[in-house]
Amino acid sequence: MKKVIALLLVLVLVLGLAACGSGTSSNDTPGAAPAADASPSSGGAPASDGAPAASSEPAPQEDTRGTFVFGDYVGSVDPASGAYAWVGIRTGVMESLFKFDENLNVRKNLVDDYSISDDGMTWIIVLKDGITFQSGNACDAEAVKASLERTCSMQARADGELKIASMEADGLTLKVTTREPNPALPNCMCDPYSGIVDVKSLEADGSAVIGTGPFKLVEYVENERMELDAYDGYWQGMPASKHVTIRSIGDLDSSSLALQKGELDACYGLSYDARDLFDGVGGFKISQAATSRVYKIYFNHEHEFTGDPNFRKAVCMAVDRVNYAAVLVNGAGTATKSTFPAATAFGGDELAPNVPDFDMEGAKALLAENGYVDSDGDGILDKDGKPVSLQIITYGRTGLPQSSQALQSALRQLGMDVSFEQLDSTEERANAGAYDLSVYAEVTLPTGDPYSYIMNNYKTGGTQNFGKFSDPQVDRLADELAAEFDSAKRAELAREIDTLVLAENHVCNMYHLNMYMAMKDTVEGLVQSPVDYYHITYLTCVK
Amino acid sequence: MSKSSPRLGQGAVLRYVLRRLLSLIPVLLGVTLLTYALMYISPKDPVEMMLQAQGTAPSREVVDAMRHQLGLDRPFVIQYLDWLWRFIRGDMGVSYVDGISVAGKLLTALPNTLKLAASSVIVTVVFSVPLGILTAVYQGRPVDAVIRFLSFIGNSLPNFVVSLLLLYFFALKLGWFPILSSRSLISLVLPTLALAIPMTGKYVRQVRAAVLEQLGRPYVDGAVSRGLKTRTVLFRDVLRNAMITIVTLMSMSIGSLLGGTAAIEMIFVLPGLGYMVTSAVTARDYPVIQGFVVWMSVIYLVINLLTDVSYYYMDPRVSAGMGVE
Amino acid sequence: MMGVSSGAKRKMAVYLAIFIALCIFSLVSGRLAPHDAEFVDLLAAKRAPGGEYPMGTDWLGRCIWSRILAGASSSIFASLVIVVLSMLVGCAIGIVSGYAGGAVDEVVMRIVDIFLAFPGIVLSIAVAGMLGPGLKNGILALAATSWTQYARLIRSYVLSLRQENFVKAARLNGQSGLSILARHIFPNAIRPVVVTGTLHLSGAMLSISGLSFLGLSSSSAEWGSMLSEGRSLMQQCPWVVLYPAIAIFLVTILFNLLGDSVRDVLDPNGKNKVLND
Repeated sequence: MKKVIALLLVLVLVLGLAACGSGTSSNDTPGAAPAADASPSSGGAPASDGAPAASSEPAPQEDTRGTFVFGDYVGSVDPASGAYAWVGIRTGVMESLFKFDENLNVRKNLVDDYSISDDGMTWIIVLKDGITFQSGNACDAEAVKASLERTCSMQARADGELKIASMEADGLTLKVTTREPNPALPNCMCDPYSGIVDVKSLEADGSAVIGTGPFKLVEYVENERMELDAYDGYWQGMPASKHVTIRSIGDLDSSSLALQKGELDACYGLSYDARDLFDGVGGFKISQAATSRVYKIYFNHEHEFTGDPNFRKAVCMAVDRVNYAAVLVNGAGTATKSTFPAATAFGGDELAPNVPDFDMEGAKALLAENGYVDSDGDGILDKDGKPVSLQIITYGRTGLPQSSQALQSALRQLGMDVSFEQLDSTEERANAGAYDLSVYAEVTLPTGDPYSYIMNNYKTGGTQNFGKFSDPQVDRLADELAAEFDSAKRAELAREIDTLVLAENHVCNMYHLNMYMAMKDTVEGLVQSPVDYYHITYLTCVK
Repeated sequence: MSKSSPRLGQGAVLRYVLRRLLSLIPVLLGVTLLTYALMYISPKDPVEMMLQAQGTAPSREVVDAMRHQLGLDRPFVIQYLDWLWRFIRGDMGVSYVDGISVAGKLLTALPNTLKLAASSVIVTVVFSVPLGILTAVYQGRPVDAVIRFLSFIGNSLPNFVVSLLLLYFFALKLGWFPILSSRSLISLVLPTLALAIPMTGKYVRQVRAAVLEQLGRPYVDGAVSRGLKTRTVLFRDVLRNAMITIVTLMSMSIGSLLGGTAAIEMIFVLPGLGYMVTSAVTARDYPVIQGFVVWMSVIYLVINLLTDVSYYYMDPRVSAGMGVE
Repeated sequence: MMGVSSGAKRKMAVYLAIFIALCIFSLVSGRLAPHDAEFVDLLAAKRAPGGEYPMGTDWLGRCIWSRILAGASSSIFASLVIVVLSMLVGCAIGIVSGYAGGAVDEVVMRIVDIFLAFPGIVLSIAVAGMLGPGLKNGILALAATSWTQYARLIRSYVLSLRQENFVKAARLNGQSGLSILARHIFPNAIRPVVVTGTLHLSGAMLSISGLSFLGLSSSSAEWGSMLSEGRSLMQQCPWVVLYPAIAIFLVTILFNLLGDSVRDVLDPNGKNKVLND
C-alpha cells in the first residue's frame, strides 16, 4: 500500500520537475547555444543586437561597424540631474566646452578660442564651427547659453562653482561675465554639470538627453541598461561602433564573470582583486590611469601624541606605502608622499624631504629618542606616565578599512595600543575631535586645479581640515592662490604650500588610486582617463 | 472572536476585510513616520551622500544651497508632514538623486521583483510539497533521512555564496546560462534557483511536520479502518488539511520576496525593489525610501488579509480565527 | 508517534552536548590560534594553504586558520545573542499584550504590525548608519526585526491558555495576574518559543553574513564578514572563502539538527507552525 503512495509521489515529483522545466523556458534546448557567445559582437542581450536596427533602416551602403557592450554605471545623462551627471559625458552622449587631458590640464573641446578681460570678470569664448546636436540643431553660442543657464538654474553646485552673472550670445561667440573673478572657470566647464544639452529639443518631461557627442541615447532602463546609437553627424568623424550598450554593474563579482565569459566587451569599476583575472591573461587587456584621489592619514593636532611632529613622523615610518599600493589594493595604487600626483605640475616626492620611508626600526628608535618608552613594562609605550593609546577612524570605501587594519597592526608592533573603528562616515566624529588618526580618501584635483583641496584641507578652518591644522604662512599663500590667474604661478604656490604642510608631517599621504578598465584584447579606442569622466569616445570599438 | 464561534456569513467576512483595510492607515502612518525619523537621525543627509559620491568637497554655501533646494533645512516634522500631505494627494515626489518620479521608479523596479518572486515561489512549492509528503510518509526511513539532510544543506550557506557558486559553475564554466540578465526567461533560471534552494530546504521540513501532524490524527486511522485506501485519505484529507501550513508558508515568503532580495538582484543584475531601496538608503534618498516603505506595508497587509480569508474558505473551523491572528 | 520517544530525547541530548561543547570551545579557540588573527603581513598576502599557514592567508597576509579560530566566538555568540535578545523582547511584549487584552493588545499588535511591515533592510541599514557598522550594531538591527515573531507566537499561546480551566481556576482562587503569568502561563507557553528559538539560530547566523554582504560588515574576524570580504578572490584564491564557508556550513547544520531535535522533543505534534524567516 505504501509502495503505491510512493509511486504516486514520485510521479507528482516528476510532473513537477517537468512543469518547472517548461515554466522556466527551454531549459534543455539551449545547451548548444552558448557556443554562439564566442562571437565578439553578441552580448547576451538580444535586444541590443545591431541586426534588427540595420534591417529597418535602409542604409545607403553596407554598415560594417559592430556593436559594443560596456559594463559601467547606468544613470541619468542630464547634466543638471545632480549626483550622476557624469554618466552623460562618460557614455559619449554629452560633451563640455573644455576637457581634461591625461595630465589633468584643461584643453579646448567644443571651443575654438577663448580670452579673458584684464579685470578677470569677462570671458570671450568662441565655439568651433559646424558642431551639431544629435537632433540636427546647430550648437551655437545661443544653444550653449541656454544649456548653461538651464543647468545653473537647476543645480546649486553648478551655479556656485561657475559663478556666472550673465551671458551674451552672438553667432559662435559667447561672452560670459562672472559674479567675481573666477580663474577656475575653464576647469569648472570640464565638470560634467557643464555638459551641453540641446535645450530646444528637451522632451516634455524635462529630462535632457540630446548632446553633441558621438552617441545618441535611444533607450534607458534604470539600473539596467542604456542603448546608444552612433550619431553619424558627429563633428570629429563617424563613430567606430554602430551601437553601444551600457550594462549596469550591480555586483563587482558578477561583472568580472560577465567579462570573463565574453558577455561584455569591456568593463569599468571592477574590484581591485579582479585585476588578476584580466591583467596578463590571454584574450584580455587592461587600461589604467593614476587618478588624483589620495588615500591618506590625517592627525588630530589637538591631541597630545598626534600633535607632536616627531610622533607623527614615527607613525609615517610605520606606513608601508609601497606595499599598500602594490599588495593591499592589488596594484591599484601609486605610492606618494606629496598631496598631488607626481604626473601633475603640483606634485612629486621632492616636495617632501622630511617625509620618511617605511622603516619600523627607525620608528622604534625615533619614538625612544623622544621619550616614548615602555617604562612600566606592560608592553605599551608611554610618555610622562600616559600610555600611548590611539584611535583610528575610517569609513567603508574600498581600500580604507584594509589600510586601517594594516596601520593598526604596524602601530601595535611599535608598542602602541591602537583601536580601529569603521564608521558610515567620519566627518561628524572628526569635527568633534573624537579620534587620533583618520584614514581617509579624497579627490585632490576635482577640477584639475589644486585650489579647492588646499582651501578645504590646509587652510585654517577649512571644511575638510578635520585635524585642525593651522599655519599662517599656508593661509597667506592660499589666499594668494585664490586670486592668481597665471597657471605657472598657481603651480608654484601649490607646491610651496604642500612643502610647508609636509615639512612636519601634518598629514601622511599614502597612495593615489589607479583606476582601471578591463577589456577584450580586440577592443580599440577605450582608454582609462585620470578623471573618470571620459570612457566611450567616437573611436571606441571591437575590432 | 473566539475559536469556537460558528461559521461567519459573507457579510461578516466583508466587514472583516473592511476593518482590516482600515487598520492599514495607522500602520502606514507609523511605518512612514518611523522610516522618516530613522533616516533623519542617521548622521548623513542626502546632500552629503550625493557630494560624497562625487568625491568632491564643495564650499559650505553650495551645500547649504542644495539643502535649501531640497527642503532639507526645514524641521523634521514639517518635512514629514509635507511628504504626507503630498502623498495623500497622490504625489510621491521625485528622487533626490536623479530627479525621476518615485512612482516611476517603483514601476520600473516592479517587473523584475514580480518575476523573481513568482518563479521562486512556484519552484519552491513544486518541489517542497511532494518531498515533504514523501519524508512524512517514510518517516525514519533512509529516504526521509537523505531528503532531510539535503534540506539542511540547502539552507546552510548565505545566499550570496550560493548565487556566486551557481554563476561560476553553471554560467561561466558550463556556459548553460547567461550572466547578465536579459529579457529572456533563461536568465531567470539561476536567480530562481538561488532563492528557491534555501526556501525548499526550509519548507520540506515544515510540510513534513504538517503532514505528520495530520497523519497522527484519529480521523486518519478511522478512515483507514473504515476501509478507505491510505492514498485516498492522504490526498483527500491529509493534504487538504496540510494546505493551511503551505498557504501560511507561501504568504510569508511572497511578502518578503516582494520586498525585493537585494543580494540576488545585485548579483544577477536584475534590478528590482531590493536593489532600489538599498541604493536609496545608502544615498538617503528619502522620497524613494518612503515610496518603498508604503509599498511594503500595503503588500504585507494585503497578503496577510488574503491568507486569513483563504483560511476561512479552506477550513470552516478556522472561520472565527479571524481577528485573533 | 504521539509520545516523545527516548530516541528523540537521546538525539537532542547528543546535539545539545555538541552545541555546548562548541560554545565552550569557541570561547577558548582564539588562544589556540598559531598567529595573531589581526596581524597584517603584506609580504605574506594570499599564500596558498600549507606549512606555516594551514588554511593559507588572506589579502592582508593574515592567517585564515587563526582568524577562523578567533572568529568562532563572535560568529556563534552573535547568533545566540540575536536569538536570545529577540526572544526576551518578543516574549515580554507578547505576554503582556496577550494577557492584558483589550486596548493594550490592540495597540501592541498594531506596533507589531508596523515592525512586521517595516522592511528589515531599511532598518538594518539605518541602524548601521546611526551606530556605525560593526557586529554589535548588526546584532541590534537583526534583533530589532525578529522579535515580532516571538511576540506573535507567545501572544497566541497566552490567548488560548487564558481560556484553559486551570488558569480560570487559579484566577478564581484569587491569584494575582503576575503569579498566574509566572506559574501557569509562562511555563506552558515557553516550549514553542524555545523551539522557534533553536530553529532561528541558523537563520541568525546566515543573516549576519548577509548584512556584511551589503557593506555593513564588522572589521574583526567573524566568519560572515570573512566570507563576504573575500568573495572577490573566489577564483584567484579560493581558500580565502572556502574555509569560512565550511565553518559556517558545519555550524548551521548543527544548529539545524539541534533545532529539529528540540522540536521533536518539546513539540512532537508539530503544533508550532509559526516559522522563522
